[in-house]
Amino acid sequence: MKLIFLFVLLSLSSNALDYIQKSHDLKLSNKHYWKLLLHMKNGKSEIDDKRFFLAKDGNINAKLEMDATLNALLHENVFDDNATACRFPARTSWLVKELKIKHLPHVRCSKYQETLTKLDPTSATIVFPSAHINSPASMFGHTFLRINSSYHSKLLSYAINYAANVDESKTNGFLFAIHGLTGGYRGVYSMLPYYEKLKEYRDSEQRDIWEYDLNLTQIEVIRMFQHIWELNGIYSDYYFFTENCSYNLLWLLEIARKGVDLRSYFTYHVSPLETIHAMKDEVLLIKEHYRDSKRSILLKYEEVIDDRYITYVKKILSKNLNSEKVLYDKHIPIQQKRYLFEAAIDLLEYYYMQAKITKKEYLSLFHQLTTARAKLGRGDSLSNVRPESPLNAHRQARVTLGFNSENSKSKLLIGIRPVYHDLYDNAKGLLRGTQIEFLNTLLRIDNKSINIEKFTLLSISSISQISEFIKPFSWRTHFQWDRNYINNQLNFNIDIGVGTSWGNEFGYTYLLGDVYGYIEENVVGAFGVSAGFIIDKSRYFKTNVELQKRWYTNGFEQSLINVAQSYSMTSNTQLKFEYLYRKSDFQESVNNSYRIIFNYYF
Amino acid sequence: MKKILLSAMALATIGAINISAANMQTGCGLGTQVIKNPNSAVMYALQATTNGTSGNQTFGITFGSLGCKKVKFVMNDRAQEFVASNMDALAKDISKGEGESLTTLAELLKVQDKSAFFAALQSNYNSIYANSQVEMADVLDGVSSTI
Repeated sequence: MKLIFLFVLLSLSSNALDYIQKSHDLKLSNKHYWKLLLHMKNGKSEIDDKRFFLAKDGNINAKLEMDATLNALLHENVFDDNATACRFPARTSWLVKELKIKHLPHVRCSKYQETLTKLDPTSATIVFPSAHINSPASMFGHTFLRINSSYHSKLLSYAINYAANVDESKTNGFLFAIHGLTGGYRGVYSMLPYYEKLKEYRDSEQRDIWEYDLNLTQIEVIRMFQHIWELNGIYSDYYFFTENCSYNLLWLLEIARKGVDLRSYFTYHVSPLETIHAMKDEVLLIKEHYRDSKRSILLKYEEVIDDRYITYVKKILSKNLNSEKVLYDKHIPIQQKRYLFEAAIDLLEYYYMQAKITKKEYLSLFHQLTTARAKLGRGDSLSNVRPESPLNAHRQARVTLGFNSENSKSKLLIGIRPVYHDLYDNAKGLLRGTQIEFLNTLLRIDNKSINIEKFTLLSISSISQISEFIKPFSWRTHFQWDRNYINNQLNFNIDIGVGTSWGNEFGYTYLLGDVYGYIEENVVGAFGVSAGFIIDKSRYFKTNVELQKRWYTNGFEQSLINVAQSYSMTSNTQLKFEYLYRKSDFQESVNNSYRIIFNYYF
Repeated sequence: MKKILLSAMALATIGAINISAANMQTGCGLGTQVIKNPNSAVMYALQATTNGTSGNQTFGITFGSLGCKKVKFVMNDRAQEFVASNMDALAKDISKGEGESLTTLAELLKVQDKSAFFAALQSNYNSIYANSQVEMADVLDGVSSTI
């Protein structure tokens, strides 16, 4: 008995050595796919969690890691979900195939099997929650993967999401930014039902959701899931700009289908929407779908509910109007009643999620309103009109070429901006009134000298229109060098402004109060009042007008007018005419500048 | 900002269901949406870039009814799990007589005639969602009685 045991043991060991030798002969650890499985880039794995590696230096040595994996697979000492074959199904499948491994120790991967059965992978979709108002940083969006099952309903699919693990009660905005930029947080993958992600992004954060079906086959999706299982609980350092949510999904897609190469599209930063463009270029996308956010739904109700009745919605919620009275009012058309109650229910949920009402109030009103709605029969659904696809928006980087004519002097203008969008750019496919820019550089060239016309470190605007149901405030901030000061010289200044905005299908207007801090020899402050309007109904033409009056702490006053008319020939090109007027009691003359600008986005 | 994820999903660990956790009931009734803490506007503005969450990043998938009160009629686990986590969306859809959550429930229950199902549930809304304290079991029992 002992002899047979020894024989079996020896033959297993020699088996392992055979396969390891074979892998060396085939130079298998050099293969691109093995390096993908280890998330290797330039010889080092991007995965920081040591538990992902079986060899001590497995993260910097693909060959050692393969040896260790083969050894572990052929010498299992546990046979449940902690077995190597159960923890690393993607590596196991690939090695078995490449080395034609005949027998592996029998293991029972029950959690893996249960999960695979429940997920029932058939196809995959990339989900892109777009920007939410009052948070311009969210313009960059987010992406996560949805693994579709054989159910028709997508709500039953599971979402795979990579995100930073942040204990928000232990941090503040400043620390958050620092940690996020420098890899101070750990990113992990999580798996949740799609309906949970919709509750988070669509309802709670009011972000419109775009879904892109991928043309991955079932086998490819399962292969991807096997690797996702390997990443269960494994962390990597999270970097806002590079190794972020959307970047880490790219590994999964490259592993799903050999030959797909997505990461090489990106150099200095990875942005979710740009990763979808990359997937489009790699011919991975099939169909685009859209889901209204809770906010978009409320805006649609505002359009279909008659002006006569629209105020009833909030009155019902504030208990200034009896819902029974509305329900049984013979003068209100039945479809209007249906819309009124539906809007009231949605607005109630909105208030609850914004923590504007207590759970008790919510439950009581919710019951009352749904009971009322149920008495009114089925009725019409809201239109499923969708906004312009984010894939038709201009790309994130921009170069500028133009001419500036100021008091009869002409100058050439050249500019570059790495990211992303300002209020003069065509906003189709993006959220209206939202601006975010980093390192926007504009130079002017005249008589063989080059000067900075404007340099923006960071500017953010959120001009959000108020309407019947939703009343956000508008705000903006910038850190930049510009020539808006009374002496028309280049000066660094910081701005913070708040205000309000109204709009309709044609455009929007805004009113803001700003506080400026100018750094000259001394610090000079200013208070400004701005009024502006933007006409953007057309997909091609956009008109921007802003008038501002400033009062400086050094006693001077200034009037500023900016007018622009732009035409976007394509999504990524724009021709713009600008007029800038500056007048202050600091100087006698008035400054009039006329510009013609050509913008190209890429 | 603390996101209070009251959904039963966050309470699940891989495989095991800890029924002894007394607060499990909150995952089975109405009003378990994610609530935003409005106190941190800066956090809110910055948060979007990391999509950070409150640390309950689970890989786990629940199996079973998550410790909710038991249904009276035989009911598949998936349907129970779905209803428990979508009480409000379902109530809204039933009251409207249509909607994605309702269609999903119909698929889970293998309903053949969907429009009759939707109409029947809508007219019986009050016996399914009889009050604001109803839980998943009450709703599914009500749905079962109606079919």
